[in-house]
Amino acid sequence: MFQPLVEHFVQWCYYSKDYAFIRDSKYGIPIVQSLHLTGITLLLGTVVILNLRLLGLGFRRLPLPLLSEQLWPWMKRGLLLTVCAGILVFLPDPTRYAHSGPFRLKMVLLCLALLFQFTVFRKTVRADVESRLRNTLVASISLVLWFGVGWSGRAIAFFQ
Amino acid sequence: MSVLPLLNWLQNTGWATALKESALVFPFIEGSHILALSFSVGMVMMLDLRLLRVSFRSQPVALMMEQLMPWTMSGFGIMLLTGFLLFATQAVKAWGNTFFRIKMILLILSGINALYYQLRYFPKMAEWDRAGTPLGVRAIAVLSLIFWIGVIACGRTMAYEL
Amino acid sequence: MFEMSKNVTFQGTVVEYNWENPHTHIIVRVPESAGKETAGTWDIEGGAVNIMAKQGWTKTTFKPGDPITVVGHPMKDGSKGASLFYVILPGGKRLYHDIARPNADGSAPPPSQP
Repeated sequence: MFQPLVEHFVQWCYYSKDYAFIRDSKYGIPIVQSLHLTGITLLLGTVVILNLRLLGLGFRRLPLPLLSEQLWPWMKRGLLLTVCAGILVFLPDPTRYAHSGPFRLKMVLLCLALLFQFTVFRKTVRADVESRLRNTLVASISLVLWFGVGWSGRAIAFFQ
Repeated sequence: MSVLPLLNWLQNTGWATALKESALVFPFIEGSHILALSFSVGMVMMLDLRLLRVSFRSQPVALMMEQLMPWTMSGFGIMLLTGFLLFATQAVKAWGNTFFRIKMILLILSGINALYYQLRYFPKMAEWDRAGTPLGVRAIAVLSLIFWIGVIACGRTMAYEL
Repeated sequence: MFEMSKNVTFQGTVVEYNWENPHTHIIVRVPESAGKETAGTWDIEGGAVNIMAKQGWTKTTFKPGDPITVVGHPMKDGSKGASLFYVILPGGKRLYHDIARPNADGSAPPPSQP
């Protein structure tokens, strides 16, 4: 049912002159991919710090409220860079990604990760009262989702 | 003296050959390399931001370093180990690849940068943290960010040289 | 790196068949008789082991000395390298690099990248 819509969107992307320069220039693609990876570095760095703290495995001498307050803006900046660069990775070569199983999985996991991040996760890292069980559960889910996004992204080049 | 015979030997070892031909293990190693790099360099960036007094200003540098180092080092460990394994699978080609060479130079510069910090600024950390961050420390932090983003970019661009 | 909207076709002999990650490489020598455009030694870049295997490739699909007919997307800088599109086996069967991706207007196949 979605197939014709996807195909139409894909054609529009590929033939759009605005993004052709990324594909046609010598370093366009590696540059946007590097920006994507730099965003991921910021995003994962901050998310992993917070999750390790929730799990009690690290950063125990830094109060959780301080960590979340200081890291949240950088998490958002990393996320913004990752998503914007990701769009620029996708647009010049839409058929490759649209028809990739791992890419589709990545998008599903990304939606779940974002939803979780800005609801349950945010509440948990800003909570006045911490619960051991809740922290462990939330951190585990967060790590699985974000690393799931990361792994499925890498899988695009190796699996169909 | 050429290293090519050594590199050739390396990429023809049983384990390197098995790794490069494997359907699952290779993607796992490569994915680990990139994800380990991501979270550990991300943590280094947070430390650099503290050195630049952009974030975590209320916390002593010493505390930030102490808290970040164990996990950063673990990530680096995975990154270096998986990096070596990946290198071994195409040692000759990687050695000749311009972006690989730049990446290694940047990694070494990054290490020198960190070592310089250790020797020059680490001993009197508590003092200058109170008095005002020296220009040298800020420079080290900025260089750290530049070098690591460079490593990421070169790592990615390696694939685009045949 | 590759001009994905162009195809180049040539026949030659396999010099190396490297079944490996992240990209399988086939080195092909094309004789002088094929003409200036395609004569020489080509480096054909395929896909990851798993992706090629899904298309029917194996570690022993080719070996040095085998004849080979290749259709690929040439390097942008004109050097003798190409991204594998497909090979034609004796008997006419095509072995593709990766799954076919539709292109509604029927023009040259859409790109894929390293």
